[in-house]
Amino acid sequence: MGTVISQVTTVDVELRINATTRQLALDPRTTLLDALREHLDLTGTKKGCDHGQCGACTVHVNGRRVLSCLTLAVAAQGKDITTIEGVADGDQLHPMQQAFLDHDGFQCGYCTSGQIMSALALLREPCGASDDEVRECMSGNLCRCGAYSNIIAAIQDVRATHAHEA
Amino acid sequence: MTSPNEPRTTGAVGAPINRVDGRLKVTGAARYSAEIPVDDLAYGVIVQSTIARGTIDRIDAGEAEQLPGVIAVMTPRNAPKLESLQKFEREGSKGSRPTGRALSLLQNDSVHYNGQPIALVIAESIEVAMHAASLVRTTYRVDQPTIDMATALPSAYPSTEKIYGREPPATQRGDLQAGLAAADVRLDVVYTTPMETHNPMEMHATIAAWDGDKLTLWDATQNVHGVRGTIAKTLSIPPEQVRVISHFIGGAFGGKGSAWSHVVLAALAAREVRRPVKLVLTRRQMFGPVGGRPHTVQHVTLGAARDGTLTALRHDSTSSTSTIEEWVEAATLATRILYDCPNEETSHRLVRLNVGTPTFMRAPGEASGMFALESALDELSYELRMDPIALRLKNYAEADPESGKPWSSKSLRQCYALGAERFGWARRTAEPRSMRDGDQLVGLGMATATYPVRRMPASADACIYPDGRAVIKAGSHDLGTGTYTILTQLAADALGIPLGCIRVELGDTDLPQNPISAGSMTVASTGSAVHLAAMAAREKLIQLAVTDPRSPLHVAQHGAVEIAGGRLTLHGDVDRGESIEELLARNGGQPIEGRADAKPGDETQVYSMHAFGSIFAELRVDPDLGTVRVGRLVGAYAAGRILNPKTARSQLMGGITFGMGMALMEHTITDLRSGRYVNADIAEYHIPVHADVPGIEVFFVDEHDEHVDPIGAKGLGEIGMTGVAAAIANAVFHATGVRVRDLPITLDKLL
Amino acid sequence: MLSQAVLAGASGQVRNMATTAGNLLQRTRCFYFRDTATPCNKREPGSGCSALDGYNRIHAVLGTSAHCIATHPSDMAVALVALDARVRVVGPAGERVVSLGALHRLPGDRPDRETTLEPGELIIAVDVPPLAFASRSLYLKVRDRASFAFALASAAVAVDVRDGTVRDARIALGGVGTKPWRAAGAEEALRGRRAGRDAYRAAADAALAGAVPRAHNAFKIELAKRTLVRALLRLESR
Repeated sequence: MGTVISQVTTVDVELRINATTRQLALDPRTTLLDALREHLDLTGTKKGCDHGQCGACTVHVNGRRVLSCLTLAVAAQGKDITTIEGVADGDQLHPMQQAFLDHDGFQCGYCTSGQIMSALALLREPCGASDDEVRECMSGNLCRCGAYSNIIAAIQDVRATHAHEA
Repeated sequence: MTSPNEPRTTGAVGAPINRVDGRLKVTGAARYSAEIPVDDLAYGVIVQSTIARGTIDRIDAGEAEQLPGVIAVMTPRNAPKLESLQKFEREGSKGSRPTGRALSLLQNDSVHYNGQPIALVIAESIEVAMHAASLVRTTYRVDQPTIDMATALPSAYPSTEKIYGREPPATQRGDLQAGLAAADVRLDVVYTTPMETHNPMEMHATIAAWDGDKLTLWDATQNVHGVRGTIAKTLSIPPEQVRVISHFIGGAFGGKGSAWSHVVLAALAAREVRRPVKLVLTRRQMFGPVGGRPHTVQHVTLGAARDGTLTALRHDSTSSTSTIEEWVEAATLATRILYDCPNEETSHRLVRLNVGTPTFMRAPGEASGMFALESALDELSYELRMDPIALRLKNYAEADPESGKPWSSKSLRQCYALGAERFGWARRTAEPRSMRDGDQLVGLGMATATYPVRRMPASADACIYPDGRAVIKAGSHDLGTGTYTILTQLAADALGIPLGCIRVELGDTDLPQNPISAGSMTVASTGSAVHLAAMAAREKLIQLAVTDPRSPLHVAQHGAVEIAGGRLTLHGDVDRGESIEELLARNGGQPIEGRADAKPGDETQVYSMHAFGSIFAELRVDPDLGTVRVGRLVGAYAAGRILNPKTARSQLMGGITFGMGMALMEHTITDLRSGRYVNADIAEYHIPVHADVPGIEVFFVDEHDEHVDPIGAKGLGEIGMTGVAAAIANAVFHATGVRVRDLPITLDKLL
Repeated sequence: MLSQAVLAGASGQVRNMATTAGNLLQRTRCFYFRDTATPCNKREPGSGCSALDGYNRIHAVLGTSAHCIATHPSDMAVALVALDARVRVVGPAGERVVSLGALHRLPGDRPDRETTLEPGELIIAVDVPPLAFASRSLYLKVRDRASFAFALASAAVAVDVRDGTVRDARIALGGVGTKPWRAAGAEEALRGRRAGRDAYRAAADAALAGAVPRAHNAFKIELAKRTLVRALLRLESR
């Protein structure tokens, strides 16, 4: 199944992203993050370190939050991948997105996709109720602008009013 | 202030509206520079030096070039020679450097710091480019580098250039020695701050695409016009042939204010391979080649009378710079204006190290300098057994003590009072180690915050379209600072058009010229321009109405026409009027355009202009383990008119968080033998994570300042950062009795 | 203690991607090991150790050699080594069981050889034998920021105290050793003594008895002692 395009060896990869199946021919070293950003024009998922240290590339694979920079695209085949582009229902923002907007849970916006994907996963994780427990659960998502306090407020707002929708 | 027809506010300015670009950001739709779809892209990866000083002996790209998918490898052997730089060097490196900063553009074999760009691989994919970069083999003739600030300190020399082209490098007022002799209490201490790295979440990134002799750069920059000028000069092409676009920036903090080496290299590579090239730095490459905050060693000497009156104040700062460029961390500027001390001296000195050239980093100068000054004031307060706020009030400067000019406005007294009240300063017992929570030591500390108001010339267009919508154009930037939002608010009020009908365009050199978005000056500069441009458009619209015989407002008094909600009406008679759409449709359906070229007036000659604030920290220190956990940070600020309390609060919280990182964890470490950046990633270069950051509370003191600029607003980008490190250090001393004068305050310093 | 150790490691996203064996076999965070432009005996045997006289604030003080002072980064492994976990391994020669304490090697003069696994061997399971008194156990981690950072020092402790006297103890340290560090000496120092700060401090002194500091990590010796004492005191107050 390997083919050679422009002298670079590629493999055929089939990814199911936001309920849509996409076919790609990729260098087998391609990460899921680079597949999204460089091959599928799904640039909402961000590259902040490429080493699993910042959380900006957080996506859901089979409903769990993982780091797309540490996931090889070939290894993500056959799994359900959700990115920030798949969170809103058409024009209708997800309550978590709306809460980030209302609480000003971002500034430059570069960590925001990862923060929101983490926050959404957290709704399904056994995270405690207190602000401190949410802070601990969110600590894998770095924000250099310092929107942390507002992010926690947004998440707690959604947990209080929309937890049943998670 | 600006017009006889100043609009009665419709309330957009001052309202805590959500960010107008927020929807794009929470849906992932906002496109940052590396995310622009461009056909036929090639990928560039920079190869860096592995020595700090010496000469490239041999650079072998053969194996890399053989790798399938590699398009080219640019090295000093084959990189195009830049006539602009050759001319600059021929002329003895005098005059202004075409590149602005001293860049590494593969023009020669010299190596000046470890991590300097020495080659660029261009390939069909990121994967191939990264692999090929690892195959470039280099050997060097190695010279002994200078890395250690401590041992190099004797080589420090006085800075002679004006700081920022304006401020003298050293100042003297009164008679310092006499002031010291007259003092009852003297303090003579040295504070140090380490090198720090901006680490915005978005790495520096450039896409360069040539169309004939025209170059487009999608660049992660906070200075599109500046980058255009630098690139044009460096490549010896007219600026009109360079377009720089930066619609969204994933954090900048000063680091993205200059055109660094990779930007020029991307443009050169794209020209060489005749394809668009995308060049994104790795996180490791953010340490060194794109600046950072330099190391400082600051000597502070204070003299005071028993009642707290300062009789002498000396602040000498020595900061590190590179061997290829002078960069001064302006650490003593705040000292010059903050306290009413008659006898004062300040100076800046430099030490040259084989490191990447430092640059502006959030509150450059103030952040590091006020750590020293505000820590010293705290030390003095214990010597005098005086409340730290009372000590500061005792030396309150009613006018700028350096220039003698009156303040355009100053509400620092109110900031102390409001901050102290909201924080609960009164519960603090003065003695160190006197407050506990269980087995944890509790510390309360405070510091003053300040940052100057700066403004530069800026232009803007405001265009009202026949459909009643308006577009604002300014070549400024939104770094996450809220520029899109506050400009929308300013335009809405000036035009009388609803927020939702206004679109703001930023970050493009095709838009009117604007300065770098830095130094807390975007509101004063670009905000003023947008306000004035919108007012000009408004004037034209009203003029059109009152001179149009078919308008219900025909022959109305010009000043009696109001515009709100997209309708022009007569003051006091809302039924008499018409919509903008009706008016423009009847008059040829042409847009109405207003233009403003705004620049500071003579107010800087008359007034000293600064924002002020107070910052309070409460923290717990584990007496056995030395861990510091900040529980609360409370800031009170007076910064003129607050255009949007929601984004303003966020920006200040961000500055405070940045300051907390500076206080407790940030430290760019270089290996003292090799000059390698040791912790060049964001697992080991610690910035605060969610769990570190407590509730941060921000309060505003109402302040009306009609002198600073046409909109009465001072900037907020930096002031939140100032004073934080001192407030935390002061709280740590209060908790533990240990005075840490060497940032960051890591637990090993408290064991 | 095991769940606390797991939750103290990395971040939610990283943990979701992690495996038990992967955690045990993770590579060191030594700056110089990670930076391929610098000599490192672990990465390139015989090239030299840059950390010995370099910036070594995060490096080990226990189990070091003249060739390597890299810290084992795992939290989970510290808890597992305290609990006498056993690693089941399959390879060309069939299946065998290795105690966790014997899985990792000290660096000695071959820091590139990190474990006792043979080529072709694969970890298939980790067994944690029941330990009645492990119900009273905890993991305490001290680091430079509140979360998402490697340990400067950590302690996994389980103590069996009856009538105020320590009958048995399991103690391991993290952040200070070149491998997950079982502190047998500390356990021995505790057995038979009255539980309390004095005994804990004696155990901590025993645990760090062989510690060798370098230029920037001497603080870890005292920090590790205090971390262990704090962990034992906290367990006592449970």
